[in-house]
Amino acid sequence: MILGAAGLPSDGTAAAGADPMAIFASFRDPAGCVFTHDGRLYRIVTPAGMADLNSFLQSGAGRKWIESGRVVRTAMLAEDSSAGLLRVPEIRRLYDAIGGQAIVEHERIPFPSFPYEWAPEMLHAAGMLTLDLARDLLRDDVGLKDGTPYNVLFRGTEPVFIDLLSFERRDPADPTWVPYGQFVRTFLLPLLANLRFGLPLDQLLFTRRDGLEPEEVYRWASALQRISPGFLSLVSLPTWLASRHSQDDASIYRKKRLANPEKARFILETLINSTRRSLDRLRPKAGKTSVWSDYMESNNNYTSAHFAAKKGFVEEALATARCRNVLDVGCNTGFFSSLAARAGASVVAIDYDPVVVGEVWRQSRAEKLDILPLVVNLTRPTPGTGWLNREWSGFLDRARGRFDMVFMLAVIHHMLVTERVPLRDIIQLASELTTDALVVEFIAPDDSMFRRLTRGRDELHKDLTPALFEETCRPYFEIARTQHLENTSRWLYLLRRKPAK
Amino acid sequence: MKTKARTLCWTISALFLLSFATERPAAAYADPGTGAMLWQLLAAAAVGAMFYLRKVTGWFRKKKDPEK
Repeated sequence: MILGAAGLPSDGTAAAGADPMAIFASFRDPAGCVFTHDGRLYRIVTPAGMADLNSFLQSGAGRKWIESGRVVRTAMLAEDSSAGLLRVPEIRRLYDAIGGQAIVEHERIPFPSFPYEWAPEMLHAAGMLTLDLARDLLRDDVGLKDGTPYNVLFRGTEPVFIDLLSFERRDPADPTWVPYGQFVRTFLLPLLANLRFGLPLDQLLFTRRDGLEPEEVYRWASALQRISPGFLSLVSLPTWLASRHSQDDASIYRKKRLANPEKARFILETLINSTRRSLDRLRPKAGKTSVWSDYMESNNNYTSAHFAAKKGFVEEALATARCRNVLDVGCNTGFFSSLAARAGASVVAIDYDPVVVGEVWRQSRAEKLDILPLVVNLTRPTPGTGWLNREWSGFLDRARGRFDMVFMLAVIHHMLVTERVPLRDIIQLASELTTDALVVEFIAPDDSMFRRLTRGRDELHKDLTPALFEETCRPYFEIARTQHLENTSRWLYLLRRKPAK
Repeated sequence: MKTKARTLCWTISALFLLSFATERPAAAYADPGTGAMLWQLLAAAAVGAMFYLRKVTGWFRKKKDPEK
């Protein structure tokens, strides 16, 4: 049994060993917690949580959102199934410890990812989803308790709201939108800092669970920026207002009630709409460039014949191995991810360049391809983080054994040369990621792209030959097919995993 | 027309708020959410006033634009 944190379906090694007391539960939410059992995802809900959850499940908007899959599909467990689960001592203990009233089952999102692994486009889409949900629910007097990107995961390119305990019955006379401050901190200000200062989202969000404070962004802004429309309402005014406010005066948090509920709803609707406009102004632009964004068009060593041969090899590998879950390492513009998705696979495509990841997300979404692009560098993968480093699992913990095919196309030489990871370690990691196939493009040291990376340190890689590469692979993989791209120093391999010893 | 009115409202309120546009040093234990909350309260008060205004203008608009 694995317990996820903060309402997230964690797939991580947050799972403790034999000691059930060490199991890592979603401690932030007083209304319930998440666990997995036999590969299925459940949530224990307390009586207070149940009242709020029912207000959502029974609302017209709630039903519509669950049916469309934009809120994670959820079903209340029948009494006998829930009694069956409660016969498992660990689940029983947890249920009693938090005072559970019921258990619900959630659809599993195939690959959990976290905001610091998303391209700006994806954070933007998750924000739009949150605001649209808040606006739709308002009409049924259901509110959101919080407004953080950790309430959202991606199913392929589509954001899905997953925290079913974020909903509450709303007091119709209350004109305050409680999640506003958190929404600004975790969606708007990181996007603003990314857009205006070029600060990478992964770095901003990885180190700050609750996003950026207006005061922090204010310090980074120039005098002119501080009075520009983009900064004024999100950054400068909150900073000025807060610095004049007595710190002991908690009256601003006192619940407010208006005599006219229609007016309260109007205020909330207007605030949510204006937040939506602020978010829309921060929409990342298409067609950005980076050192990697035009790699496929101009910056590589292929003639069109070579490229066609490489495409043919990958297509044949996909047809032979018939894999369902593909990881594309160093996906660049996602060309080969698209091939896999079109062949019917569900793809996770990783690259460390947020610009190309953003473009892959845009393209895949437009073409409705089942691709989840993430900003991840396999040589410095996202570590586990949060409380005890166990709240949000690291990339490798989520990825090991999760895929039946891994692509490493024109990427191994970067890991070897730039990152100085030994070949054997790279192949070993690949054998842990895939349960079956590995498609590799091996590039020999005399290739011009390889030489560009070595910057004169040719001595380091002089022994690297296709023969050495094959010998390194053999303890882990059978070589199923190989093809030399004519007149180049590049070889393609389809490797099949040997059974683990 | 609507955009122009919005820009005008925006400019007037911005100028008003700029009148206290200085940052004072924050001490430890400052509540980071205060600014956003205060801003929301101000915005809510302004929108609340708009609510009644909209009712009045709504009578005129209804005939022109049946969607609103």
